[in-house]
Formats: sequence, C-alpha cells, structure tokens
Amino acid sequence: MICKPLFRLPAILFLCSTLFLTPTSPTDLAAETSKSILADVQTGAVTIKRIGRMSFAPNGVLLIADIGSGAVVAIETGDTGPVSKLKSRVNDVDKKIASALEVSTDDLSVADMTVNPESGVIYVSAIRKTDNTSTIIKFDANGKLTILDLTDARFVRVPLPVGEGSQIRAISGVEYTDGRVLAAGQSNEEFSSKIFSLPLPLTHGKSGNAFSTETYHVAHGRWETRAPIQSFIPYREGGEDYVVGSFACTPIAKFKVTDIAKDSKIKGTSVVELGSGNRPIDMFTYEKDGKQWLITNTDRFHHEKRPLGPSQYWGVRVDMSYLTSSNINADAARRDVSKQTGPAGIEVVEALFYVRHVAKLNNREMVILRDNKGALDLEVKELP
Amino acid sequence: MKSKSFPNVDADLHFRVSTVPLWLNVIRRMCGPTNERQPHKTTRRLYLVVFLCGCCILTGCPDPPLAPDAPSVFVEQGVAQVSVELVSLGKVGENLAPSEIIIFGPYHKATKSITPMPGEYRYDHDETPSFLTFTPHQRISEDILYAAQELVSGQITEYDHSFWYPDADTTKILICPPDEMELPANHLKFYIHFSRPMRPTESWEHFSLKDLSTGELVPRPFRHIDLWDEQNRRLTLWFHPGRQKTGVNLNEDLGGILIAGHNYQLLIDPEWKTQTGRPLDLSVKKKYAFTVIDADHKQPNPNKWELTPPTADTIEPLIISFGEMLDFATAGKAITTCSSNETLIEFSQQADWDGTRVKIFPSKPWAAGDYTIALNPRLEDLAGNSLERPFEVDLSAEMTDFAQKLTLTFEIKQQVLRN
Repeated sequence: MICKPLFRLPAILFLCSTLFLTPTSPTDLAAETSKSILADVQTGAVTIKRIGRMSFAPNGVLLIADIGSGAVVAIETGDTGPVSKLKSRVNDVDKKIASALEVSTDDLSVADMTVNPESGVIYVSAIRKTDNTSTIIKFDANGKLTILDLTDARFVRVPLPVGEGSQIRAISGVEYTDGRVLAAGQSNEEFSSKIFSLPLPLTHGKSGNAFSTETYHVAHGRWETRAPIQSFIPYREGGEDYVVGSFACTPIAKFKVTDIAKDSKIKGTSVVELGSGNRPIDMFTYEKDGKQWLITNTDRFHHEKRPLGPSQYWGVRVDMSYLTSSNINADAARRDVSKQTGPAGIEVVEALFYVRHVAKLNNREMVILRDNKGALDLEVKELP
Repeated sequence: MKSKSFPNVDADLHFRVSTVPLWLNVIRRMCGPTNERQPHKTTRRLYLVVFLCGCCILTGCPDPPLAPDAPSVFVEQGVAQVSVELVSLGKVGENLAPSEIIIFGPYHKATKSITPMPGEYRYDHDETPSFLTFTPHQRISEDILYAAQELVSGQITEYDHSFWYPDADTTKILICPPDEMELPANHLKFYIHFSRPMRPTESWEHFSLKDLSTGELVPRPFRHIDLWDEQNRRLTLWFHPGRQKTGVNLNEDLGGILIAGHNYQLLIDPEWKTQTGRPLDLSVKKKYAFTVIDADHKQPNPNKWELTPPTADTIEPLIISFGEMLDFATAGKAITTCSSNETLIEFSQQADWDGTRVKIFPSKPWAAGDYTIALNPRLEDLAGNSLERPFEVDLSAEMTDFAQKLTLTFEIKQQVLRN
C-alpha cells in the first residue's frame, strides 16, 4: 500500500510522455493543419498535364496551375519548416534538372520557380519536352536537388469552371489569399481573360461556388478592351482585399477582390506605367522600414533596340503608396524610362537584371532564378 | 473580303479492310476505289483475274456470285465519306432505309460496336442508284478509332487515322483563316492545326512574320503564350494585342503589326518537333501568305446574314452565311439554341474552315414550321469584334449599347407532294 504512489508516479510520467513526446511526422502535421484549406484530399498519383505557375499557401500546400487541363492542383507537400534557406548559389540549375530528368537542356522547359517561405525550400516547375512530362524539382538549403514524388501524393484538383463553351487554356497565376484562391486564366478561342475566385476549402473535383469575372483595361481613359492578366498578387489595404496585377499591355493595375462576382466585369485601374514593351513575369510585396514595396520582374520587348540595362530581363520596385494614389489611368505614375530611378518610389533593381523568375522568401530576402549566359543559376539575394 | 477554296493540305485517303474472300475482292476492286498502299495489289489482282477467267471457262461463265461489300471510308480535311456498293446487297437493299444499310462512328473494338454518328445519306442516282454514301455531320478526330458497318452482312471497315499517318509521314498543317486571304490590319489570331501532337512549350518561338512588301521580318509580332487544345494539336497563335489595340503604349510606340496594303507571309520553323520528336519537314515552308486591308472595327451584323433553310423531313443543314470571315473557333459555336414552338431542337454545328458559314444539323429530320435560333454573343470576327461588343470601345463616344441582334428566325415550308 505504501509503495503505491511510487508506482503511480512513473505511470503518470510514462503516460505524459506518450501524450506529449510521441513524434509527429511533418506530413501528418501538414495534413492536419491544411484541413482548413483542402477538402476531400486524394492520395496517390497526381497527373499534371502541363505544368505552369506555382505558389505556396500556408502549411506547405503547393498551388499549381495545370495549364493542360485548365485546373488548379493543390499538393500537401508536408514541407512546413523550419526555415533553412539556400546557403550558396547553385549554378547550372537547368543542366542539373535536365540531367535528373535524363534529357538535354534543349529538351527542358522551365515553367516557374517559387519558394516555400515556411521552409526556404525552392521549387521549380519544368516540362520534359520529349514526352511532355510535368515535373517539380526541389532544392534544399545545400542546393541538393530532389524530384517531388507525384506518384504518391496527397492532393486535390479543382477544375476552373468553363462557361459559354469557352475553354481556359492558359493560367497566368494562382495565388492564395485569406478565404480563397485566385487564378487568372485565358481562353484559347475568344479574346477574353478571366479571374477566378475559388472558395476554401479547395475541394477535389469541385469548382463549388467559384466564379469568374472578365478583366478589362482602359487606355488613355478612352479605349476600353478586354485585357488578359499577365501576373498578379493579392494585396490588403485599408481593410479591403485587392488584386494587384499587370495586364499583358504592361500597366500595373488594381481592383477589389469583392469585385470578382458572378457575371460581373472588372475594369482595372492603372496605377503605375512601367513603360511600353515589357512583359511582367512575377510580383510580390514586402515591407521594409515601415514601407510597403512591390517587386516585379519583366521581359523587355524592346531590349535590342532600346536596352534598359544589360539584359532583356530586368526588375523594378514600386512604392506601394502609388497604389492608393488618386492619379490613375491616363494620369498614373509613369516610370522615367530614361533613368534608372524616378519618379520617386519607382526604382530599377540591379539584382533583377537577367532574372527569369523571382520569389519572396521573407521581408529581407528573395530567391532569384537568373539567366547566366544561357544557363540558369539559383540564388538568395537581399531585397533592396 | 474575298474567299477562296481551301488548299488541300490533308492527303486524300482511301481505306478498305476486307473481311470477305479474296476472289470476291477481285470483282470489287475492278469498279471500286483503290488503295494505293496495299502491297502487291496489282500482282494479286492479276493472279485472281486469271483464276476467275479460268473458272468461267470451265463452268460455262456463270455470273460470279455477289456478296455484300465491305464499306469504304474516304477522308478529306477531316470530313469522312463512307460508301457502299448497292449492287452487292441484292434485292435486300432495295427495301431498306439508308440508315439500315450503313452506319459510321467511333468504334469500340472490344465489343465490336459502333456508336453511329448523325450525318447525311446520299444515293449517286435517283432512279437506279449503285452507291450509297454517308457523310457524318462532324469532322472526325484523328485520336479516335472509327468504323463503318454495312448492316446487311454486318461487315465492318475500321478507320484508324494514325495507321495512315505513322510518324514517318509528314505532319500536316492547316491554318485558319486559310491561305491567300485578305485580313484586316487589326487581325488578332491564327488557329494552327497539326495532324499530330506537337511539343507545346514556347510555341511562339517557332513562328515568324515576313512583310513581303518590304522584305523585312516583323519584330516580335506574337504574344508569348502557349494556347493549345487538350491534344496539343491546335495552337491559337495571337498577334500581340498590345500592338493591335488603339491607345495602348505598344501600339503608340511601335504602331500596329500589320500595315494595310502590305502582303505578309507566316513562316513556321521546320525544325519544330512533334511530341514524338520528329521535326516538321521543309514542306512547312509552303507559303502561307495574306494581304492586309483596312482595320475592321465593326461588329458582325446578323441582320446581314443569309439563311438557307433546309427542306422539311430531311436532315439537311440550315446554312448561315455571314458574308464575311468570322473567327473559326467561335463560328463553330455560333448558335446556342434552336427552337420551334418553344420546343428545343437537338442539333450540332460546324463552321467552314474560312469562317464564312456555319451549318446547323438537326439530330432528327426537320419538321415544317417556324424556327428561332439564339446566337452566341461571344461570336467574334477576325479582329475580336463580337456580337456583344466591339473589340475596342471608345468611351468618349455617345454609343453605349453595342449588343447586336441575338436571335434569328427562319421558316421550313411543307414539301408539296406531286403525283
């Protein structure tokens, strides 16, 4: 009887240890925490017909644009940290990927690059041209390459709703924001572009109450045309959610997320003009010294005739206060194309010359995929 | 805009699979279409003719017994024609409706069953027909195995496009709008059809545009976007809209891509590879040329369209002629509904390759009466002006309502019976 408490104590300690010290795999944890984002998660092989843009949602959920089937695919990667960023530059990334996929670089097409901010792991989407296979390649902190296993994945696939017989055959972006996933797509027939709002949780096989809105652009406050969105990011300002995007014809425009409603029509308000002949590629915002900035990199049409710098690939940062400016459309701020900087708050970023893709790691650093004389290098750089 | 017959870029095909004895084939081959790809055909035919002549001599030349013939399938530019020789059906054929003689459609090889496609039957002569021909309403897909069946004997002829286009053959290319057309200066896009799947990435890199009036290549005319169909066999190649839109910076800085009065040539890289890695060959250098006329800012006007009503009790198509070239893809979806007395009619539609007409095929014979068709507001012309709105709207102009008429009516008259 006297000894009973002595036996009881180890028993309690043992029970506590099983409760609190049982190892939980990152995948289990991610599966648990991503429940609010994904529903009816499938297990097994995920088929991606033609991979395009990618981005990360919370809890290691990788959002993928499957251009080939006009769908958004979300994969629980289980990659939830901790953060361990790339330690040093990885040269010849394209050659390394091509080698891993057993093709030459001529038979490889790199579609996009993104970074998981929760882990620092870099993800590159690529297509092996020889058999049109879509692949996702990961680079860890040591620059070690691994191929994401798509044969045994936890995923959902959400087809973008097709309306009036038109088919969505290009998805120029897929982004998570509070309460929804946004995707911008274009038809391969009529001249139209739509932005889709997919409610959370993303449910396998169901577009649910997803709705889309056509996007328009007004030139000089006069000529209104349908306009495809080239790239975009969600952005919050004054308690209101916005989409900041660039149209194929360059200006940076914004519109309210709440404007994305069934059968409605969105007219983007041009807030910044970067100069003609630039095709924006990636976008993100960051905060530095209490100030919000927008980074975008572009592919310059006019590089051969009117070079801005050493490469057709260049980038700029824009003071986000321009997005709240009352000077819009024809009066929108125009970057001074004759200078590296100007007007105030619009600056060419040296580190973005030659950069094919850029992604935000945190408010201090970005990951860049840079063209190095035809090869591709991966590197973490300081944000300006 | 002038129109022209479409170039024959797709090879004519004959395909016949015989499931009857060879000696019967001899008779058939003497009057039926031939298949150039069958090996030793001439030799075999010669032997068999000699054999049959010998039989005739020995037996006092009786009429050779006729047996039902296997149907032949002929495909040109995706349009199939299935024919069967009626004489081989004998008396049985005389009392049968055309649809009881031949059917054609996707073939399920495991079950040996055909899903019949709707289409049109024709006899070669009204009085004493010797051939019955069936033409399905829809173009056939090269990814599907089809078959025709002669229903009297049950003989099946398979048609497998890939069999006739093994990878050693040239990849065929068909462009909409067709060659040698007049296109508006604000023309937006081309549909490039390939006879086999292509490698779909960075497709714009494989095209260039030459201004034949200056001899210069037009710098960066195409939008950098891959817009393919699901099979990677139809590419939508866009001119850069930023240069085709009034007031957009690229248009102001560089001007439009096309200049009215100039002639252009669209060039395709012959080294571009199909999905299986075979480059397109030099034949793709075949000229695809067009002449540019003034920009088109007017919406298509249904009031000016011409409707050719079909005959009652037939499945002839209703033909709508637009009077101009419209966008090929949306022209194929020009009609959203067709109704008579508020009853919806099941139909399929098919646009001509040059986008000047669309044909509406009913699933059942038309009844005499009044019909209403609803038009797809997204139907566009070559410059992106749709029934819904012009491609570019001048907000400073007073006009704000651009919606065109979205319904059309037509009447099918009762056939007058003559005794």
